[in-house]
Amino acid sequence: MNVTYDKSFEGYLTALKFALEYENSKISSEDVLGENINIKTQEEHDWAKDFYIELKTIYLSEREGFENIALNYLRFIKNDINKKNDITNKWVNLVEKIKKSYFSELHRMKGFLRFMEFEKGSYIAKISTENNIIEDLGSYFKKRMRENFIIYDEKRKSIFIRIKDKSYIKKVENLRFQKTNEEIKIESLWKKFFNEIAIKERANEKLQKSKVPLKYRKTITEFINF
Amino acid sequence: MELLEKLEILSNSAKYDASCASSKSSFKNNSRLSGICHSWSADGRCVSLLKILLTNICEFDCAYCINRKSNNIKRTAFTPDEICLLTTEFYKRNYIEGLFLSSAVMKNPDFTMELMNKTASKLRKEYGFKGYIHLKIIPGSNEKLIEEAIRYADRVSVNIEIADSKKLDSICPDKTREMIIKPMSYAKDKISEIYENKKHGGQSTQLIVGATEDSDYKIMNLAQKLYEKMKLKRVYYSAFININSDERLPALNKPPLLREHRLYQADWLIRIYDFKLNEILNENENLNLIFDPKTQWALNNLNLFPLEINKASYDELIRVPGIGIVGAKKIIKARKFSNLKIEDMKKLRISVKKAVYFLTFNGKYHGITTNNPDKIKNLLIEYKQDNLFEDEKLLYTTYLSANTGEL
Repeated sequence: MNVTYDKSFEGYLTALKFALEYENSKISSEDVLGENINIKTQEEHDWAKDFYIELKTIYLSEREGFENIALNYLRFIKNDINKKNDITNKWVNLVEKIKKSYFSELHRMKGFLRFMEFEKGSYIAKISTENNIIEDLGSYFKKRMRENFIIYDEKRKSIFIRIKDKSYIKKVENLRFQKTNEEIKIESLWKKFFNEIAIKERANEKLQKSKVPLKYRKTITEFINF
Repeated sequence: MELLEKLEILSNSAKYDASCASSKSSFKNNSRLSGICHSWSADGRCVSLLKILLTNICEFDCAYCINRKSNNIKRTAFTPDEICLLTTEFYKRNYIEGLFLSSAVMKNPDFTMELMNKTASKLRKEYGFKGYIHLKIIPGSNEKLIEEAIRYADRVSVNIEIADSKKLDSICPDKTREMIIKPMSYAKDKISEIYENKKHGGQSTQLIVGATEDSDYKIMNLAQKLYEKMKLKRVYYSAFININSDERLPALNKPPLLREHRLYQADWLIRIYDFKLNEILNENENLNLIFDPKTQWALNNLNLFPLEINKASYDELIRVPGIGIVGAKKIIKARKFSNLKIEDMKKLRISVKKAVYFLTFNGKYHGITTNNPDKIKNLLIEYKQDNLFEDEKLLYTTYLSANTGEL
């Protein structure tokens, strides 16, 4: 039996709760060959509170078949919550790996994200990440900054927008903006600093590459047009 | 002078100072939990702070320093507002976590320290800056100014630079050990008074490695005392770079980067792994450049090994080469459910390349049976992880005596 849901996080939790009742069930967001049951999304999920972070991270990892990873994981730990620590188990191990990938990318982007001023006092940053981290990243910057800002996820065509005390996420088609003159000035100061701070007697490109992988460089100011 | 040119001069002359890290301490309601690197410069060092000098105009003439009085270089100074502008604009764009402000000695120590404090005060009060501030304490500045610096900054540091105080006199004629130790000791008392053992606040220092003949033992011994008596959060080690070709200093072609790396490893063993200095180094000895200090310690103590991975305590596990704090915790967690086999290590993402010679798995030993440590050394050399440092040729030495028999 295949359980389908509406792609929302709550829908995914509802599908998990339902599929857990049946031994050979699977979950997908679209119908597959054979028997499909479309479930109606429920909003309350108190049952999931002990493994909420795991389920949420699996969902946001967006990796193929993530619903069934979550389902198998739950089947393994549901009768004994301590099994969450049994890291040599296949499913626990995979979930730990997914969590590590998510949180290390989040941590990395807290450093690598670059804001640009596009109108006086308002800032925008572009990201393109493996995991869907925009919500966590947005709330981090909401605490760090006083200014209004937008984080634009190029891969998922969504933005996190913060205006004063409010913030929300929405889908966008295309985002165009121009840097202010002040922005261009500050960027050249930063690039100057970044160049000067390296000690040439200690040059170590290999180390630099391992710390700032090339795939992240296209949105990092000091690595653009170098 | 344009701001761009000032920044060029005053960041270029600040770059040799390693005594900084944006760490876990946070200011007021700032949300940071762990240190963030925003970038890595072409030398592979983490960039997390705007590291600049207030000025490079200097009354002192220290032999190793790029900014010494007798050097003929362009001199300039930032105004406090220029520093505040750079810091806040860089911070907003997420280039940095904060400011690391050091300085040459303009006019006299107090004059310079006062200007630095004025800058920090302006940054906090007028610019409302909540990020990280590290202030360098200028050797010889007065207590009132030091206290003020501690109140504005998340961390302060006074650099010792030269481990041997007698050699300091000839290398830095204007500095005395007292001018360094007095502010450090005063800062220690003030920090514990103001911040009462909270994680916030703290001080660090830097020691130059390779500018004098001081042994690693001498350097580490001083570091250990600084951690104990001065309550320093960190001691930084900086490989000597021969900038001035001064005859009082050795004519090194390249900075001793691998030696610096080994000192950091030893420092970690003492601070985090609970090693005692005399377990790692004998008096006046240097650290082995071929093996990291933990591997060297294990090779010297083969009688303690192999340990059974399913029984060894946490304290024992962290002393196994190749197993760190994180690995030991994972092992303890996982073995509650089943006896660990060597195949499980891959699942735990723990490399056994080194550890395999020092562990058994359910009684099974996967290393080589020998009483000759040289044989193990040869095998370990193949798995060296220090290939990021290309300054030392001796890396590929083999232990010839072991190259016979049943390897």
